[in-house]
Amino acid sequence: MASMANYSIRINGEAKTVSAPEDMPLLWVLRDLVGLTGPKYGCGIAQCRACTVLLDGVETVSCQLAIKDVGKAEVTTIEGLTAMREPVQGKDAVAHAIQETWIEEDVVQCGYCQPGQILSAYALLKRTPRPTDKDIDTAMNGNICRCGTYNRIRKAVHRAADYMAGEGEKGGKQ
Amino acid sequence: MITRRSFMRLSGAGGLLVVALPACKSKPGKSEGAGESQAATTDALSKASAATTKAPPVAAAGGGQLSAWVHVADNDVITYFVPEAEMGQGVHTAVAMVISAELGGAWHNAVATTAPLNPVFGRQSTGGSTSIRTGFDAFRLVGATARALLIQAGAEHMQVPPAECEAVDSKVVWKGGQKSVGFGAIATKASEIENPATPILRSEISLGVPTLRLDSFAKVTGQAIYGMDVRQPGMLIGKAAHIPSLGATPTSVDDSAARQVEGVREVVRTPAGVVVLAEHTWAAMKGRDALRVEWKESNVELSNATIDAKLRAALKGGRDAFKSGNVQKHFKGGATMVEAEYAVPYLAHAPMEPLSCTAKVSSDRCDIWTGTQSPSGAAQAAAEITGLAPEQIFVHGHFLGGGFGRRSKADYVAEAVHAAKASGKTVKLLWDREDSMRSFHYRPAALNTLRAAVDAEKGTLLAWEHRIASPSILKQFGPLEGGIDGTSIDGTVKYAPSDMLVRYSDVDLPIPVWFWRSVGHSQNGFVVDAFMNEAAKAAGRDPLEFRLNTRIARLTDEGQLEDDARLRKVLEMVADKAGWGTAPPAGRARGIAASESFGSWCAQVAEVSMEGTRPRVHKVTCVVDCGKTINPKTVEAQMHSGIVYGLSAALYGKLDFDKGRAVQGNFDSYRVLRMSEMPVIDTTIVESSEAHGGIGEPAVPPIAGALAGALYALRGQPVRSLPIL
Repeated sequence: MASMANYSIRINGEAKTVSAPEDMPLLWVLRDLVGLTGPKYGCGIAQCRACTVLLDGVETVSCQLAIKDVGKAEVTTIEGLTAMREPVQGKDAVAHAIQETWIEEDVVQCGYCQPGQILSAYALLKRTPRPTDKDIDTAMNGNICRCGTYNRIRKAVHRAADYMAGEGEKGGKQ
Repeated sequence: MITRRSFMRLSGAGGLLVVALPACKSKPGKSEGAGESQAATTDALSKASAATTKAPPVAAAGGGQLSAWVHVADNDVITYFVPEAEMGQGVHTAVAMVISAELGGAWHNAVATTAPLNPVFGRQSTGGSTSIRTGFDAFRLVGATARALLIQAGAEHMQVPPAECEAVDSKVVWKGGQKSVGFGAIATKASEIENPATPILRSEISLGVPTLRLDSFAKVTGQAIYGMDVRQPGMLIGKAAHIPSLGATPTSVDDSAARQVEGVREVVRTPAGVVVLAEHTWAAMKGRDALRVEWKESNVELSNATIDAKLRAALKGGRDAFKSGNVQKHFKGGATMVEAEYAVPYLAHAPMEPLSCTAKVSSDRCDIWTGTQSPSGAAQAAAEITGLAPEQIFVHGHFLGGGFGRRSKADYVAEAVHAAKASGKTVKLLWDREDSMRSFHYRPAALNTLRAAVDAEKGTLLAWEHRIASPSILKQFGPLEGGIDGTSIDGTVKYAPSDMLVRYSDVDLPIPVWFWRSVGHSQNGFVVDAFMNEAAKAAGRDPLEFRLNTRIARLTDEGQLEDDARLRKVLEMVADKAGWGTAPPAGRARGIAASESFGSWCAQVAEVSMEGTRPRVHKVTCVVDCGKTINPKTVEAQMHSGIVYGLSAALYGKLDFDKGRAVQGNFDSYRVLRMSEMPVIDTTIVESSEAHGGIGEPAVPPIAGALAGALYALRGQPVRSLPIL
């Protein structure tokens, strides 16, 4: 029997204390205890990455990370990424560019996988500002989309990179 | 004979009835709408919404409800309540576009939301790619009715005659702009006016302009609420013990260990089984795993082998579904013949979001919060379980994380209602991925034998015989007309020589089957086009040339054969766009296929190479004729979507059975296409003034046939069964 304990974790820039069984995956901590439903449950076995969050900026499959192992890492969900667009928290240009291009390229369909897709794309652009198609394939192959938005995701990632390089106009109408 | 109508009727097509309009002067539904659980959105998000240029407008208080479909707020924001389920297909945006165009609403102030269940909408069920093709005229009437009310109110406000006013850009304008008033200022007054007896439609409305989706902002910021995300006060999470094999029944349940799991509140018995209720999902999952259930299994003999044997036996029987001339004379008469067996497996829908439903039941009311393709079906299931009257059932619809047909089946809703009723609690019942994938209601397997006779000298098709054995979907709703399931033979009459026979045989198998994106077209698109390539080869002709040498025809709703000029045209167009007849890049080959389904015509060319033992689809050229287009962006997205969905199935999709159990349970064994496998897709939409066709499904049927054709050209061996890998 997993023992209950209190865990102090940092989520989207805020300290939170949750009482949870030690083996409870971060995904369910976020969704059921913290009330952040942006991270999605899709498979529970690290196959679809709809549950992707950032752990100190690195994309992480939250269905596979027990709460006891989160430690002091900063957890960022799609809600946190959205808040990072705000000037008050020091606007994050990559977060802003990705969400804007996702809208401009009309990427989403059902949208259920998109929080995971966007966080994977964000982590990619942070470490590789001008990714190639191959970089995108490598970074995002874990994120399943059943609606088939892959080609628009690819375009949106490239276009966000263009924005960041100050070449936003090249991507099309703003 | 083939009847498309029976399918349309039974699959709950439609959803919006013109006859409902006179009564439409009502609130969108009997609930407070979808907003209540969305109110859980954090403050941080609200602030972020305000900080971006892309945030959708927010309706202010006040204004007026002009009909169940349309609300205009004081600040001019128009909210369109859409009764069709938004499962990614873009229907919220498309329906709002139609109503808005007829109304004269300003698009930058448009908001779309899921309408709750309301009898005003008629039967609320989204499927069969019907939303626009059956609803278009009614949506225009909705817009025209709202416009008439606003013009009446605006004319009174400006003290001018209504006949001299028009509605433009969310304003009522008098005499070309001498006076005007915004919709918001007169919406309350407009909502109090009686509906016009006969609203007058505009002589023309402007549609077909590429338009961004209305739901993007909510979906890219994590604010969109899906069925899985619903939170209600006092809610417990429910996980049910699911049967290990088809038809199993529990003989004993020991829940002592489950009750010891930290966070588990109770374990309830329902007519549907045993449900663990817990404070959070993790405890519910562990509690469910800790249940010790003994099962009596009744289908242990069911396996791939027994399924195949049944299909094979059924092929010997069957009935004529379509017959023209006499095929036998060719098969006996020494013509060049080709003969083959084609097989496709059971398939799961596997939408991204596993199935879930939240329910609350009291003595006089049942509330359901879920993502469903059929609020009407959900309410019906709830009424049967609770014994409540239809007006006591409240269905609050949310975004669907994909549907593909699976979310029109209300089994997951029923399980939630059972659990809520048994416990007296608000229960969010959650099926994990394995529960969802192993809950049956699959696309049926099919075994086909085909024979063709060709004139090798002239390069023509002389005779075509197609025998199908496949478990019927429609028989669960009532006896089949003439023993034929129209869905099972959809798409079989396409290349139509004068001597032709299609026979169908239902197969008695216990596995529940259901509508899967494009239904019978999903397998017949593959079978017919793949075998057509074998016939072309027997005739020594190029696959395209051979197709164009053949009569291309379709069956009308009355069962009559007519030439299908639109299918011929999309075939010719796609060949031209794809460079058919020019040499493909080294190591690659092309395959071609085309299908008419759900009122639209779609042709595709796949360009494929082999990478080791794996096919690599580099490019798909796609031409679609869907009649008039509402939103080209949606059409293109749905072409991509159908191609990816069909490619996933063609390459990987299968649901095996062993000892009565569905073998595949998750994406590790039920593989789907990933980013690195995604082909380039080049879509062309045929300009047309014909009636609107469906767009949710028609891109699925051709892709497997196009892929099979390319592999046949590459390897010389036909692909006769799916999946390929």
